[in-house]
Amino acid sequence: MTDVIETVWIPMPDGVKLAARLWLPDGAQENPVPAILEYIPYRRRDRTRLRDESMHPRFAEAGYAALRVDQRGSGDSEGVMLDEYTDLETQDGVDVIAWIAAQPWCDGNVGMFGKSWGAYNSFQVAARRPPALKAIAPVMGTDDRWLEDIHFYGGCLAGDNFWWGTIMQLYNAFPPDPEIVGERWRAMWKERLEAMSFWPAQWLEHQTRDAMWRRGSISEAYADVDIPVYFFGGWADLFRDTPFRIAEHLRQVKLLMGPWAHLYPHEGIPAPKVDFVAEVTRFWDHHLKGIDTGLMEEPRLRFFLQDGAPPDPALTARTGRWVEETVWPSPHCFTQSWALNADGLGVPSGEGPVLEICSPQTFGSAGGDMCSFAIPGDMPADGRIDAGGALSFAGAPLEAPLDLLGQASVALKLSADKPAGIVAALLYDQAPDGAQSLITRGFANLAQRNWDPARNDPPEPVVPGEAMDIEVRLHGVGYRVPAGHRLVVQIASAYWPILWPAPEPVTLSVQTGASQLHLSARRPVEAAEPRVLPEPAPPLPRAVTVTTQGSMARSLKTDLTTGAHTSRFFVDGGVFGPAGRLRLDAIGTELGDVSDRVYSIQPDDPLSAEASMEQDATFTRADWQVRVVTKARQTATRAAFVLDATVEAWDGETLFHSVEWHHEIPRNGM
Amino acid sequence: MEIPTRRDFPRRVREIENVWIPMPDGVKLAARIWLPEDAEADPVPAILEYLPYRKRDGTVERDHLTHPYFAGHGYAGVRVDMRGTGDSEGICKGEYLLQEQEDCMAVIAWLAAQSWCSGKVGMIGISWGGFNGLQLAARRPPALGAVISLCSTDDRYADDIHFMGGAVLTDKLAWGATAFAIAHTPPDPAIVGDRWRDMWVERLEGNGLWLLDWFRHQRRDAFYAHGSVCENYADIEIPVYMVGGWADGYTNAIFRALDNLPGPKKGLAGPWAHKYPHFALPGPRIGFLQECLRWWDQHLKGIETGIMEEPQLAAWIQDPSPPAPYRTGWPGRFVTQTGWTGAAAATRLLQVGAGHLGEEPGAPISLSCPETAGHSAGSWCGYGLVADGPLDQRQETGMAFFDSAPLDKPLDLLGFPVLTAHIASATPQANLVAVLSAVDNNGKATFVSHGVLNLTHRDSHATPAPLPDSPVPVRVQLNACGQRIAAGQRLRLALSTAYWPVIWPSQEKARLILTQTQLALPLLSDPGPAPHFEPSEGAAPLEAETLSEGAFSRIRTIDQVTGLETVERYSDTGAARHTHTGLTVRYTVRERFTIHPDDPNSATGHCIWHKSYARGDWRAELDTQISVKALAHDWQIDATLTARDADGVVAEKRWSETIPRDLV
Repeated sequence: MTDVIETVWIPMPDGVKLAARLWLPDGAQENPVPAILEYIPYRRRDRTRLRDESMHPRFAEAGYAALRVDQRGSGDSEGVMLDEYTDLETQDGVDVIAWIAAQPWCDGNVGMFGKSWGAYNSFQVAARRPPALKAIAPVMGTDDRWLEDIHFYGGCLAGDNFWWGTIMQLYNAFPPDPEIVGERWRAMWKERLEAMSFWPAQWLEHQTRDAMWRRGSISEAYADVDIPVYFFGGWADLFRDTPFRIAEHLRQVKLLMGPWAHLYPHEGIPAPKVDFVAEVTRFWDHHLKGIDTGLMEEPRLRFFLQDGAPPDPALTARTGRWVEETVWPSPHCFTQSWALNADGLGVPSGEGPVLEICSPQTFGSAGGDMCSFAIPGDMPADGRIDAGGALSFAGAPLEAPLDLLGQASVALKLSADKPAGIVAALLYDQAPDGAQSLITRGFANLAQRNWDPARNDPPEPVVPGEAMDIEVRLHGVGYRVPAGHRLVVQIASAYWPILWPAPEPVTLSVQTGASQLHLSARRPVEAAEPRVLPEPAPPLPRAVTVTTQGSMARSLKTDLTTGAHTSRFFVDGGVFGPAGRLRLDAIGTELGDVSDRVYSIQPDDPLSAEASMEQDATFTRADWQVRVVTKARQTATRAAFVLDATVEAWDGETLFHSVEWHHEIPRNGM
Repeated sequence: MEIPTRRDFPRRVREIENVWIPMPDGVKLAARIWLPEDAEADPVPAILEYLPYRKRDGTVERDHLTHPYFAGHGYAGVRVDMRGTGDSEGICKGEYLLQEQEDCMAVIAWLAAQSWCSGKVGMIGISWGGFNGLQLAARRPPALGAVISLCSTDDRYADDIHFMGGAVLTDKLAWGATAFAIAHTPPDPAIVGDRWRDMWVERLEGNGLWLLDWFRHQRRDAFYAHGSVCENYADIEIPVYMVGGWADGYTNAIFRALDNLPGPKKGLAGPWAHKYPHFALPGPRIGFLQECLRWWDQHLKGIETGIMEEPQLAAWIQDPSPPAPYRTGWPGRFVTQTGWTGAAAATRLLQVGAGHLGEEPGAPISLSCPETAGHSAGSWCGYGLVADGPLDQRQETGMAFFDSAPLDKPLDLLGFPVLTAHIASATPQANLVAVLSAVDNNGKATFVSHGVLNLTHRDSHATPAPLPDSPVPVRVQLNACGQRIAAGQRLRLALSTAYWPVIWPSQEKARLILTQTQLALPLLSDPGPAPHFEPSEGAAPLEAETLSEGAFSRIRTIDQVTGLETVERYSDTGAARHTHTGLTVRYTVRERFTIHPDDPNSATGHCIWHKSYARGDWRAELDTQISVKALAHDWQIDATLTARDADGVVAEKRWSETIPRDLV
């Protein structure tokens, strides 16, 4: 029988104690076992409780001590959290591992895993080389916080910097649970609330790849990570380049790239799901218990090569095949180049006419979210929805299927008429009926055209009319374009609301013929069928009572009198979907989480761009009644980003704390 | 409608607030008349405007600008409510019925016989009143001497609010709902007395839901041939002046009438929407009333005004202009043509295919568009008052675009662009839509013209035929246009199998292959001498007090979860009290059209009207709703009506009918 300990306290050297939930296998006190750590700020007590219970008990059953630790200043842990991926957070992770390894129930070997934040800090902690840490399994995270995080896409400001920051605005205002921390809960809460800052603004103070973004980016020194890594990712997720970079640069990497959105693979959507716990347990067994599971003899890199499918923003399943590679770059992959000719994608035929594009600021409404959570409507829609706002280059129908694996790029020769501008390059699969399914996309900030990660030069304003070579790197993907379909490249000067617009409408003058699409194509490979991946068992009934059904709405409104777009995303249930109000049966806490995100913009005015987010979250249990209400808004002037935000924290009927922020942050090449 | 006011007229004007015109069957029609004070001594011709839109309150704004102006210049301006509408007795069971014409014959005879009338009558009218002007001209009442017909049609099937190229317009519902509301409003007790409620009940019981008939007739049968003067143009011998504008839905008829009418005729096409040109938008407005007087003086008074010596057609050639759904003006210039026969004198032929529009023969075009394609089209018939015109055409979703190279010199278009192709269809019924636009070098695309063909109507609107498996030749005539394309602009042809919410979708998802696709553009080769128009002016405007502000919105919403797309239009006139009657009037209308991009059978339209009339203790309110669903094989139509007065419900009625689709 697994011993489930609701709370163990892990002391940090400075005296702060972190709260953890521990699943301990039967007999571990007598026969110590390896431990598995998940270390994130999303509240083990309540908000991730159910998800934790889909994984940690199974690790315990497999003979591991499993720990879900609240980061300092989050959940029930003491202290405050001042930013993401701070040195202190990483050091705490190192200290947590040392503490775990020293416990009588631990045999001294620790593995670490986590999705998103927990993937980042798995990499970051691994780079510190805590002696007990023997392997990590990051799920959907980044090796480079500048290149591939929610803040910047291709050096352009991401709308998600605001959106994700507002999620943390809410989480940072949550209290510890009095049942765990006792009467001091209010004092702990007050300490947290008083330490809060508005992170989207804090991050916007750093608009180049400065030390803040280098901090926690293992790409700065891949060699620091010298333990085995099993990375799990999904093509519908945000992190699609990290797998290719770490496969190339880290010493011991195994990869599993599925079709999934930002979800653990055992809950993965689009299907097919994979039993993440079973799969990663083989990895733990191999590296923490020294059992040869054969895992490392298999080809190390496995990718789901997705079949082309009609565009569907609520896609729940897709077909495809698993393919394997032993190394990256792969000898099976080669560069296939197409020229962006005036009459479409074709063979290079010399410089053609210059084509101009000044996209309406509303261009991008077919884009879904960059980081899908598989909430219906958050995946890309039919590219035709706003294709008229881009230059389109269509190829001839393919005579044979074309397998794409890896990272494509678009090399553009262009000039622009304004000092600041962005480029969006979208690669579509156009079916014979005209429907356009997004394959992949990438972005570039013209002011960073000469950017060198090693130097971090300041942005260079564009010289209007001056010819530039702009490489737009498209995110990695595995995709089979069916025979008879066409490849279509769209080039646009805006991509709202995924990218914040440049301060003025920009006309891009693209030199046709000399601009090229470079695909990473994969030749047919004769190979044995890969090992069948474990399928997850049907999920167990959740120990939860739905007290109010959830709901959601996601809509795009176009005011046909002005052309203005308003995108609204409303969820009653939280970041992972319309769960409604839930009572966790085991602890009696009822959770509520309502969010309302609105992005709006006028077609001719980039300075009309506005993002807003309002959230209302509650914790209710007998006489414990906490409510946190947040509001946030981002706009921009020609010179600055303007952010306004408020937080109200309610203790029952009492306004326990409130704060109001106003930030104006000069634009720096964005 | 603020236009310069003219108060000093050659003759002093008196108004007859209401006069009853007896019909042969005893029913009396209500009329409002403005005439010179001395008309009894010096009789004048009568100018008749004959409508169901309520002389008492519905058309007062424009009536006040126009009819006293005519009166001041020696005419009797006469506004008559049709039987069963406004303050008139009886019931009205539909559009352009024989009864309406018979009544009008009697009205004209009655006018001619009045002591203040010279015996000559002219008819003027816009839209319905333009239609019946032509229809009455064809009936040849002896006193009718000339007609000015604005924004009207000679062909009730080809160019009316019901069909476009044999495809069913969603306006068949929207206009059906508008007419439904109008037809069930009460007379004013101040005019008809205590019997007002009985008259209202008679209407509520008798006028009915006209659009049921409109949906029952889906091909060009006798229902539409009736009242279509194109059936025999030779019936019309009196002079006819056809007037309209590019932003209106009825401009094609001007060109067809000039081509076909055997008698004296003139045509005028401005930049205007569905309004009289002395107060229409987009501007420039013209002194249209002065132009009318020249016409009436010539044909009703026998004064030589020179108007018939001038070129037959004056047309506004619109300059290149960025797309905008609302415009106060559209820059350009008037040109003239001595006459108009058939097509333009010169055409330029462009080949269409594989993404281009040019000289090289085009490759086959495969076409199957989302059912949501078309949202940037703007209203089929613009009124110019609100932002419901065409949007930037590059926003269009899922149409196939074919762009020309940038023009090396300007091109002036006047007339009908024509698309021809050979088409193979995977389904027996499908629609083809062609939209012509002009693309600036920054990518913005300004609408120029559009055309639709229900391909089962490729040979005839009267005898449609399912599409065979093999390719068939088709010809799609786009609406007449007058447009300059600038040097450096590109022409864009957009082709689609859907055009929502302009037309209802095809029965099944269409899949077409087009070959030998060509576009013939009508060229303006000789602009002729510029015509002269006086500046716009009118008589004193209506006095009214605004009690609440109006509102307008037009919003497309894509539900990104279900994919359903809804275009909703809401308009509120606000409440206004008319000084001369003390009536407070307000209308609101909400029109909602919903469809799924992949499912033509998901198309639904819903129109909700509210009308209220009040004065002192008296009030009358009407609420109507109509919904139409375009199912695979049927039209499902449901409607409700509730009429209330100060004492409560006067009538509640409900309709529900399923009508098979007839190759549309």
